[in-house]
Amino acid sequence: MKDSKETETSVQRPILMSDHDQKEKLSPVHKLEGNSRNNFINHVRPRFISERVLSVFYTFCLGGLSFLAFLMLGITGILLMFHYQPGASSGYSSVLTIGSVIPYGYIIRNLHYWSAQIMIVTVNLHMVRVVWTHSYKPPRQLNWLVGVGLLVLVLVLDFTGYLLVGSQESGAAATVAANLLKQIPGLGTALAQIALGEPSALSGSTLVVYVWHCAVLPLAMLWLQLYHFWRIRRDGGVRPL
Amino acid sequence: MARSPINNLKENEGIAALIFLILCTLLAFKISPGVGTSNLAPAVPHATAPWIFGPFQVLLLYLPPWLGALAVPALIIIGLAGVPWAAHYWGDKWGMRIFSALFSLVLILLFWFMVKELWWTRL
Repeated sequence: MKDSKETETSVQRPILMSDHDQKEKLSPVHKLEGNSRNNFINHVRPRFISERVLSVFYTFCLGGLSFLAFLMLGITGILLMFHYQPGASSGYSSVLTIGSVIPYGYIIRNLHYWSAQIMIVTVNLHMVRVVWTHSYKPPRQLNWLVGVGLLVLVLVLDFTGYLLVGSQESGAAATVAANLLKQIPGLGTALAQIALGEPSALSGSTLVVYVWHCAVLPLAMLWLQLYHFWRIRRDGGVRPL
Repeated sequence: MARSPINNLKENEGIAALIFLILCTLLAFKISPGVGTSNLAPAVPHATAPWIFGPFQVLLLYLPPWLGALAVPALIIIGLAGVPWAAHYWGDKWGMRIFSALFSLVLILLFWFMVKELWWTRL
């Protein structure tokens, strides 16, 4: 009896109701939970959730898994920073050192690599799920734009990570990227310098790329993700089909 | 005894996170990513992009750089960003159609890249 009562009150009606109706008839999810841990977990959810979307097979946790991958990338990335040295000659050799000399270095690097690869997949599948459930519809357009921005940031982070390996292939990629940016009239040359520094044709690892990859882009991404979550809470999350 | 759906969902999310972590760890132990070619080695004749940027490499093979690597990707991003407004003004189906067209284009280019660069060139 107690459980059925909890079901009635903790699972809310669709968000399609007006805000006034929601306040009058429904209780916020987080108020119904008994301890602070649950309150925190519920706090990242919208205030009102349709019972129909309370299934793991509706969202497949793809947004949450993408964030988990981001956290793993942050932790393993910080550990890699202890031993990585950017530079045309030092980048590649420090990657080899991490992989073969540093204790557990290869595991940390492999975790960093695979988290990044899986994150690309989960982010794309998350976007497909959002479109499939029409969860970009008003009032969620701004959050959709934030999501597209996050997708671009993920791709740029992945690219800069590839450059930091410092191999010949990364040098070729950096050269192609620099030449492409230089195609932009007026701004191109300066933009290439700002984005990539002065990569050699044989190594894409530069201090500029390193700072973008380890500081600027992750911080921008973290801020956008927190804003993304806040918008989900404010605008509502997944729409019921 | 009925369980609260929200608690059930949270448990499932926890299980999904555990599966994700186990998968990452297994991959990390079993498959080491390559480190490419040393910059002290003789120059490689042809560099293959990582799979994520395969579509760019295919576009660059057949289109001028400004079109293949700047204009087309920019149009794809702008198209994705505009999906909510396309659905709003032209109807729900158009939002889905635009997204499907753009996503399919990227997937086709990725498949093209994998066949051409990762398979044919290594035969």
